[in-house]
Amino acid sequence: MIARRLSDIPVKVEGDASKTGSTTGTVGGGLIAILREITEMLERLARYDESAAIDLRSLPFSPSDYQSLRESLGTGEVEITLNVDGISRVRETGFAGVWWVEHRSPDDELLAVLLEITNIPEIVVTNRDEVARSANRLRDRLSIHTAGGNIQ
Amino acid sequence: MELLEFARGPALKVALVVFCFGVLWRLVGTVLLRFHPHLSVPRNGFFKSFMLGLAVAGSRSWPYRRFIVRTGYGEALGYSYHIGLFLVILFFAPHVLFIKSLFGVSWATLPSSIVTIIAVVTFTLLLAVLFRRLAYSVLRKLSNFDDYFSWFVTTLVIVTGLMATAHFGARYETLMAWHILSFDLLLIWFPFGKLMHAFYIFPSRMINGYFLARKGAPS
Amino acid sequence: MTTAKRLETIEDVLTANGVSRRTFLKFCISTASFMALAPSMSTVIAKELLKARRPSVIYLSFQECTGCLESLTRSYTPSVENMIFNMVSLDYDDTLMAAAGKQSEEALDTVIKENYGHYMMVVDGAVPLGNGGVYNTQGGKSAVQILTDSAKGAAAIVCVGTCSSFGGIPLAHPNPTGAVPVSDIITDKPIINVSGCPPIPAVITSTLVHYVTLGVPALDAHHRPLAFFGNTIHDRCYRRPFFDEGKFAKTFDDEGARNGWCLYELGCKGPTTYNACATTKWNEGTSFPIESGHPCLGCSEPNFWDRNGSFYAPLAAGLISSVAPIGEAAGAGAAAGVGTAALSRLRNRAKVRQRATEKQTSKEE
Repeated sequence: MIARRLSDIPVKVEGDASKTGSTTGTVGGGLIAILREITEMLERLARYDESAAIDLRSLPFSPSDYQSLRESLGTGEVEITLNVDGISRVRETGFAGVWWVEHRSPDDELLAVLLEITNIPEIVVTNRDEVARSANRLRDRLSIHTAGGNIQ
Repeated sequence: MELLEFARGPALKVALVVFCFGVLWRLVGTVLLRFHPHLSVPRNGFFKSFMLGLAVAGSRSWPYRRFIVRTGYGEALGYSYHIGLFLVILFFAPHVLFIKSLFGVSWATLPSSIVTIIAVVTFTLLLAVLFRRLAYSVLRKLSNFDDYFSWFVTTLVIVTGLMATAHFGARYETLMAWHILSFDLLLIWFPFGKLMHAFYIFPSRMINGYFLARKGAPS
Repeated sequence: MTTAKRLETIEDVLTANGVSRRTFLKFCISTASFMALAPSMSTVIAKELLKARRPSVIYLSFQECTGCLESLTRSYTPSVENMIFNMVSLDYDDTLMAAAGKQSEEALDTVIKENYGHYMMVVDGAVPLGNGGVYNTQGGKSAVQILTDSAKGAAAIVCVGTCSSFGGIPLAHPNPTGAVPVSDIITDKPIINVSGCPPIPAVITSTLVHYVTLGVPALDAHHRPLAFFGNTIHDRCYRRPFFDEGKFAKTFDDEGARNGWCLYELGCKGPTTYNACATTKWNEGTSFPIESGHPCLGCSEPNFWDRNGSFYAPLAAGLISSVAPIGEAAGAGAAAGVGTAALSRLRNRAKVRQRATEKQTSKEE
C-alpha cells in the first residue's frame, strides 16, 4: 500500500541506538532533563493528585533518544490496547504512574505519543455519562426482550 | 514585489551594471594612461623585464624579512581573512549556483558546515582588522571614509550571510534579501572605492617591477 | 445541509452519530499534538468543543479548481479529518450541497440571516475584479459581490488554499481576470489563511478546530497559523543533512538524485516555503514532494507561480532575464575608460606644450 517509507531512504541519524541503548550507557543531557521533569510531575501526582503529560513529539529527540528514554523508563505491569478509531496503546512504564501512550490512526499512522503522569490515562477511564447511556440502552433492550423481542 | 525578489532581480541587475561599467572604466582608463617616457637606454629587454616584473609582483606580496616582526601580524591577519573570503565566496554551494546562473560555469563545493566555520573565523578576523586600524595611530591617521566604508560593506555581506545560514534575527527570505542587497551594495561601491584593489594590486606591482627592471634596478 | 432542526451543540451531534467519548478524546489529543499545543490543552479543547455551539459554516468557491475541497473531503483518515463535519454545520457549499440554482441561493440568504454575526466563512479561490468582476458569477451575482455580501455578517473568514489566501494561479502573470486574494477585498474581519495548493487536510481541519475551541490561532505575517507555517520545509526536511554536507542532486537522474541528496540545485523552494509538508506529509503520511524526488514548488507562499523565475532555478540564482545590459555596461565602461585616458593624455600634452612655450618665452626674455 505504501510505496516508500522514511526508512527506505538514506537518512543521517545522529548517534546509533544500538551503541547508546542500554540504561548503563551514558545518558544525554536532553534525556536527563526530561527524566527530571517526570520526577517532578510524579511528586506532584503523589502529593496533590495532579495529572500531567508530555508530548514526546514536541521534543527535539532523535530516534536513539526515544530508545534511551524508553529503556530508562522500562516496562511495567499494565498494557492496554484500545480500539478507538485505530489502535491506541497505553503501557505502564517501570515507574508506577508514568504511562507511555501511543495513538495511531486506522492506517497505523502515528498521531501522538505522550508520556502521561497520572493514575490512569483518561482515555481508558469509562465516562459517567456513557455509563448512564449504556444503562439506558440495556434497559431498552430488556424491555424489548420482555415484550417478546430478541436480546441480541 | 517582495524584498527578496527585488534583491535578486532589479537591484542585482543595477548593481552588476554599475560594477561592470565602473570596473572597466577604471581599468581601461588606467591602462591607457600615458606612462612616463624612458629617457635612458633599457638595461634589460622586454621579455626579461616582464619576467622580473612578475617576480616582483610575487616577492613584494610577501613580508620583507627584516621587518617581519613588525609587519608579520598585520600581514598574517590580512592574508587570512582574504583567504577566508575567497573560500566562502567561491566554495559555498549557493554561491556557486549564483555564479552558474550568471555565467554558466560551476565547480565543486565545500560542505556548508565547513564554509560556516570559515565565515565565522573570517568575520572575527575582520573585527581584528578594524580594531588594528583603530588602535594604531599611524594606521588610523592614514584611514579615510573609503577604508571604513569598504570594510563595512564587506563585513555586512558576511554578517548577513551568516545570519541567513543561522536563520537568526528574521525570516529566512528576509535575511536572504538583506544578504543579497548588501552584496548589491558592495558591487556598486566596488569600482569607486578601495575595493578596486582586487584588480589593481598585482598588475600595478608587476608594472612597477617591469619598469624598474628596464632601468636595471635590482629587484 | 438543511438549516432546519439543527443539533445545537457538538456533543449532541457526536452522541447522535455514535462517536464514542474515547474517539473524540483521541481526536482532541491528536489535534493538540499536531498543533504543537501543550498536552493539557487537549482536555481544554475537548471541554470547549463539547459545549460549543456548532458554528454555521458557509463555504464559498470562486476562482478555484476544487482541489482544496478534494483535499479536505478525500483525506485518507476519514474518521479523524471528517469529524470536522460533525463539529461544524456546513450550511452552504455549492459543490457539496444537493440543492442547486435558486434553492441554493435562498439557502445562502437564509443561513446568513439566521446566523448573522456568528457564522464562519470558508473561502476557496481568488476573486476576479477585472471588468467589474464578470469573470466569475454565480446566480447572476459576481464573486466580489457575493463575497462582500456574505462577509458582512461573518465572525471570521478562513481562506482555504493559496488562491483565496494570496491570489494563487488566477493572480499569476498576466492575471487576465484581475484576480485578487480575499484579504484585498475584506479588511474588517479576522482572516486566517490556510495556504497551499492544496493545503494539507489536517492543517485545514486543525485550524477550524482551533478556531471553534480556542479562537483565532497565532498567525504569521501572512495570516497563516504559526503552528503549521512557523517553519520552512527546508528546516524540517529529512534531506537537510545533505544540504549541510554539500551533497546535491544536479539532474533528475544522476547519482545524487538516486541517493536522495538535497534538491536545492534543482530549484527546491524549501528554504523560503513555510508549510508542514515535511513533518505531516501527504497521503496517509506516505511522503511529500521532496521525498518523491521533486523539489518543493513553494505552493503555500504568495506569488509562488511567478516569484522565483522558474520552479527549477535554484534559489541562489540571480533573477536576471538577460545579461546583455551588463555586457553593454561593460562596453560603455571600457569606452568611458578610453575617453578618460584620451582626455588625460590631451591635458598632459597641453601641459607639456605650455611648459615648452613658457621655457621659450623665458629664454627669449
